[in-house]
Amino acid sequence: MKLTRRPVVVSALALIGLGIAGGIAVEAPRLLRRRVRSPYDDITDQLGQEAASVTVGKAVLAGQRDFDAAKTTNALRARNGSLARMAHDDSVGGRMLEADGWVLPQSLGLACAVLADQAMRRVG
Amino acid sequence: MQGSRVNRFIDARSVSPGTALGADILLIGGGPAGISLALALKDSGHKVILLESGGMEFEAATQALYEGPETGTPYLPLNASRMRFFGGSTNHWGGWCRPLDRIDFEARDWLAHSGWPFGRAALEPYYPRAQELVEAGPFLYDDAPKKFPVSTLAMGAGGLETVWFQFSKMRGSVLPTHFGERYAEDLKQISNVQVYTHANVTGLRLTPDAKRVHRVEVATLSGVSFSVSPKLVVLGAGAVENARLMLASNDVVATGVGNGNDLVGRYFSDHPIPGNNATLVSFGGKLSPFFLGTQSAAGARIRAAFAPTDSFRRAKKVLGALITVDGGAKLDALGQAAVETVADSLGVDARKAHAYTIGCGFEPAPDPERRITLTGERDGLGMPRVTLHNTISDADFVRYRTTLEEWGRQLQASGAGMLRIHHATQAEWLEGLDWANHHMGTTRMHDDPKRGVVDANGRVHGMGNLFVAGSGCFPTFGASNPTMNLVALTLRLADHLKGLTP
Repeated sequence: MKLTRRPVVVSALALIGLGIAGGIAVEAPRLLRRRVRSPYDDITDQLGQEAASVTVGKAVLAGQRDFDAAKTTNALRARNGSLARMAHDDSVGGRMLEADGWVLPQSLGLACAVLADQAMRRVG
Repeated sequence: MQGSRVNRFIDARSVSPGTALGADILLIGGGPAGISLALALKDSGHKVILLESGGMEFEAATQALYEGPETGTPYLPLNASRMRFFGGSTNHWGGWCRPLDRIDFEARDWLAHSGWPFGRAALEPYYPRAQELVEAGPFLYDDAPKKFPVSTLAMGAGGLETVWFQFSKMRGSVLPTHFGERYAEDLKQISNVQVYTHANVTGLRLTPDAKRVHRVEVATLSGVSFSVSPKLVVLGAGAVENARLMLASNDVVATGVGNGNDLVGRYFSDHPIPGNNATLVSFGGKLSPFFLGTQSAAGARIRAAFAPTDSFRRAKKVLGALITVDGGAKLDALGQAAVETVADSLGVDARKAHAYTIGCGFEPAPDPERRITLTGERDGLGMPRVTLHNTISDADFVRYRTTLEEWGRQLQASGAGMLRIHHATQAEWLEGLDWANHHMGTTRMHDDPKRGVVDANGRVHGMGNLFVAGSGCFPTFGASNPTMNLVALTLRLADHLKGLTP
């Protein structure tokens, strides 16, 4: 049987095409997701607009020493509630922080800080 | 009759040198205290003389008698923060009126030197007449919203509440009641009151036992000297000048009059007014015009403000503050982001959010080191000039900030809005600090002579016939503007004096 080159080339191209398509299929959702992806998505996904939250988070970080995203997120998770609930409870309970003077519920401010921290790592 | 009316106002420069006048009650100072007292003593049966250093209008040479150096925390020039002519400092006041809060009178174990000898109930009978004298309309204040519909910022429960100022009568929408101009004609109608203008008191002369003032020396800048021998004397020349006169009258007692416990001149105070305090965001849109300026309602000129509640003040150990909305503000990128983020978290619609700049006047803690003392310099009358040592404490900054932090918390807990506090450090705060020209506290009131210069009736401890009127007697200061309060306190003194037999 005589092999011609054309089917080989077509098959190779098809395989390459499949690979690209597969890659897109796997990576597209991640690339198209609105948020910075991080191990802390369960908390940061509860924030509203990303750009605004990152802006606020950067201002929170400016006032934090030795910020640790993992520890911060774990502390928020340990409270076993939605971010909105935690923010409300913080306001009622007087657990507030400041972002360049803006008085914010601690949980909300820290969640923004986690998001900003991750966004800056990605950019960096 | 015009002639007799005019004769009740005498220019002391026309008095024959060496004249010795007599009076049942001598009032020193023609400001709101002296004028209110003179009006209240009408038909009392007492012969009253009121001595005013200035004339009926501003005169630079007289005003210069106020000049004096300062040390410590920067303060206003002593010759610019008060007015030395008939009407006193009502000649430059802004007309803001509000009674002191109940807590202002309380002894608080967490606030050193706090506690009036009486509660607000002792002044309440005098507030209506004081309100008439400052011409601020019907006595509404925090009952104002019951008189007309007004939408306030729905802040919910928390440490701050909406409170109300009233304003002394506006003339041509600009000027509040100037006591001198307003009441000169009324005083001329009072047969038992004689007013001397350009009459500067240069000494309180005591009896040898230092128990009474038996003669008061008077001089004019034109060189005339005379004296008044009164049965009772009331100092109403303002907190700085009252202390100056007492300290300078040291011929019988070296430490001065009523100063056996080294208290005269101490505890001077004013209301600090930080600049660029905060940005308020109202999520629901524009605030009522009542917050942004004076409005006419129910026969009064009124304005809404925010203040810490008495219960918050007790719980957090903070002092009085009155927070006003100054004007619109534009949010920067962070401000816009903060509003978006918080509103989203709260689930509130902030599309109409409106931002404002915030003003604040607050109450400093009493401080014995903030004081008036005499200098070696002499003024044009040969009187020692005074120096002011001004202070403001770290704790004052903390208390101010605690109040704003609570407001920020409360606004978010209620979903009404949010707050940015502009001063992170005391240094920033001090940089923009102004003062309200509210001189208080140099002759503080206390039942114990070791803790106060005057007793609950304004009588100088240890002196049988010397009294002090005015905000110099305030032992603590509240955040309210002092004029109406000092008038009420003076009217209480008037009742006390009427009951005395000179």
